[in-house]
Amino acid sequence: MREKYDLIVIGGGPAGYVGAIRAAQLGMRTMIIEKDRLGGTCLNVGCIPTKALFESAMAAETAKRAGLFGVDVEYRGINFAEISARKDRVVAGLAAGVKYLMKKNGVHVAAGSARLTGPGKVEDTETGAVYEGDRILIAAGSENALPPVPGFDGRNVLGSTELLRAPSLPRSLAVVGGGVIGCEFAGILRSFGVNVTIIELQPGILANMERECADYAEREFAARGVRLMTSTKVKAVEDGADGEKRLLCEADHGEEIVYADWVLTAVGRKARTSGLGLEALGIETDRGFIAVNDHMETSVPGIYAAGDVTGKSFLAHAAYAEGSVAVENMMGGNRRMNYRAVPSAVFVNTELGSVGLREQEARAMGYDVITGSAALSANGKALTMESSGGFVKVVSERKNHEILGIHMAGPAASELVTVGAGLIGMEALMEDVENAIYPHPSISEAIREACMAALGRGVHM
Amino acid sequence: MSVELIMPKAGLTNTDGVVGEWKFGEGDWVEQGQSILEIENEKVTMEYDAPAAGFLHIIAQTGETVLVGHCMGWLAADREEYGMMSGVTGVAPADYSTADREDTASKCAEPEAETAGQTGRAMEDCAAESRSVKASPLARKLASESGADIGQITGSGPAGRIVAGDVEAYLQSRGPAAAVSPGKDEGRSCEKAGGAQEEPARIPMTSVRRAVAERMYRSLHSMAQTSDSVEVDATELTILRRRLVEQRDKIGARITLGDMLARATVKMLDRHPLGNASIEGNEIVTYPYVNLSMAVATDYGLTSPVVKNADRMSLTELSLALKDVAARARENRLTAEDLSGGTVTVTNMGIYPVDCFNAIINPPQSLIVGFGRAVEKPAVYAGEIAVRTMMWVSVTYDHRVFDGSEIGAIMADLKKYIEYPDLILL
Repeated sequence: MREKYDLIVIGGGPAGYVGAIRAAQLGMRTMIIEKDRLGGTCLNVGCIPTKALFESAMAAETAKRAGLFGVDVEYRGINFAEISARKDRVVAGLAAGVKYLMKKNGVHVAAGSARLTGPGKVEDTETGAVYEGDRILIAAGSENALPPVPGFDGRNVLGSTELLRAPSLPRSLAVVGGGVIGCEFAGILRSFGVNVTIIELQPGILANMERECADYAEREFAARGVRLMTSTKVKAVEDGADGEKRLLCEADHGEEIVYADWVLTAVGRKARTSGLGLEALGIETDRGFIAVNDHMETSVPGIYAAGDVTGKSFLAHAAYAEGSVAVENMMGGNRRMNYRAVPSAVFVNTELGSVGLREQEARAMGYDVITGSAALSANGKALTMESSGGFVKVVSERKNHEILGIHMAGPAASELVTVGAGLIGMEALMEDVENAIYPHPSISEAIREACMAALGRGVHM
Repeated sequence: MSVELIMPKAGLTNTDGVVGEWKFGEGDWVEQGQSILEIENEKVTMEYDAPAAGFLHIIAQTGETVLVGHCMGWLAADREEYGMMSGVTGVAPADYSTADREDTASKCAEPEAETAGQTGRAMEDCAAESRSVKASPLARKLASESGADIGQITGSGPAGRIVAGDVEAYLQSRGPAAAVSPGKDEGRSCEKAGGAQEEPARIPMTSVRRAVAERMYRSLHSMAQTSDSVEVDATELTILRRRLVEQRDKIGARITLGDMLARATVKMLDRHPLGNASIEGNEIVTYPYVNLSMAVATDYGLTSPVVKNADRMSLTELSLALKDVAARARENRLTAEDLSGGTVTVTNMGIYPVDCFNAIINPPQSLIVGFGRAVEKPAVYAGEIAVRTMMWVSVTYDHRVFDGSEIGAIMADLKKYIEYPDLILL
């Protein structure tokens, strides 16, 4: 069976389904071929279920600290079955939503495994159906990468996907990899009463974040009883007694064995490209990810890629944008991604938000960097919330006062980082923030205070 | 025949003299024998009389030292010769009016027009609709610092927005020598000239400069400013002015075109109190008096001294008051009282080749009235093509205070007062 389309999208995750909707809006006859579930990693086994668990964790934390606010609550613990069921309901609702969007936009969805068999030709290896498309968008996504260490064989370790499907909680968890995914799960499970140890190769967790954000998370983990083992390498994983796992670790001080019921590996993600047929078509890759130019086009004209499979950013919202940019460029547009304006939000209990350049990055790029910070200890709203340990830091430069980066820790950081994304996307200067009026009392005021501090005109700092 | 004005020799040993105050302005008609200049040398200040009648074309400015026997200026026998003369040396073609406006208080507010560019507002093209340029804050800053006209740059950002990269690409494409006229400072264009380059000049901003900058920026960011303009026939105005100047001894003041335009503005406000108003909170406050701010350019910066109760003054009194504040402004002798309480501003660009422009409102006022140069050009008059003296009136107003129909009525009244200038004598 042959069918002809203007655009064939491989993968129905954030990059794929959003790209498909954009294509339909632009009048392209579009189809998606998806081998698992629409919504991809993000919706099914990524952002959404994780945040659903996070909200349950925050409800537990709120109950535990209600006494601070003069509210008498007896905290009796969590019901993981209910937590899990709620998470699944949220996911199911959103998945139904994506299915509806496909129907509404007239995008044909085929369940199957895609392989590129020639220019403009995609075969479904499960059914043998062949589809032809003028344009192809590869949005096949990524999967958990296992470290090349003996014992890590996908059996006695869990990736985030499996952890999210687990029907119960362990008593203890060793998290291998102190990046965003590892830290978020560590924070959530700690709130559910699990003993957590984070093992990280680099000298600090969250090594790709602004230093102050990473330091904040470290202090918070320590205060909550999460053990951090940094500059530590896991050499092997073995089965121990009683169903436990034993991790043989090499740290600065020597060797150590860590015991835990479960092991979560979160050392990185790799592109899901096997079986796609990239080599046969000469589509170039870069460290396993599909290489694209700044128009999201691969080395083969007419074939584009977006989302995790390109390795540019492992964020769903970047994937949404990449999918749209790719499709618009297919239709003759001239759009480029501005990665500097892609925000990231990390939920380690206190939220961390970050967009743009880090201070060291900006210096390395040759900017004459100036920075400004505002501690939430001076912020009225934070004080009323009993959450005043955070901060906002602005990275700028002396000549034009261009806003290069905004990094923060504190309540609603995941929302407030959007302000930074908007400012950076519009090439705003610190004076633009100075001239804006921020509501009082709000955490957001700290953004303006940090800019004023950088300008040497701080008021409340 | 045009006559050259030569530096006279004041004594046997005298080698040069310093040009003092020109008693007439550029383009003014002088009669033979009239004292037109003061010359200073080491011994004495002396008067210099016009050796012939003619239109004065000034070459040596006040303060310049000129060798004996060398040229200080010319007297052109007629308008045609004057035109050729002034064209060659690049001075704006003059008319009676422009010379007089320079002469008295109404020196133009040039920094306002420049700053309009710096804060990102495109200069209004008289022949076209006014256009606002979509550009990011950083792009605007880069453009203004490099002197690039942001209106010339194509935007590659969202919806055609001009972003910093577009400004940088534009500057690079201009290159070091392309499209730069001889004699212009080339140091500011692209950095790809190759080889070692000089450091850019750093001019510390004076406190006046900073205050003006702050005020301009704040003005544009705190109001809904927009402009309207109209070309008016100022022929009758210039004729009336000439008659008044002839009678200056009786009047007691040398009335200039700028004085008359200021009076026209004040009279217009009689019928348009919203033009003489401020917003305070949710109220529009209209004042029962007109405190007229006049934009004056001085060598220490732009200032807008105020003539209080201008609505109670006759044209003569207004002329004297404006002359007084302008003189004190240039001598830096203004008091706090002189600089406060203005309710409307007038700005005069007439001595420059500027027709219409977007002046920036002086907060907390709601209106600024700008006048361009008066220039002779063909126009339709009484059903036929005639040479008329035409002038653009440009008004910037705060759209929060009043709307298009009100400003239309304001423009109509200004036009009437200028075209039927007897009205401003009443």
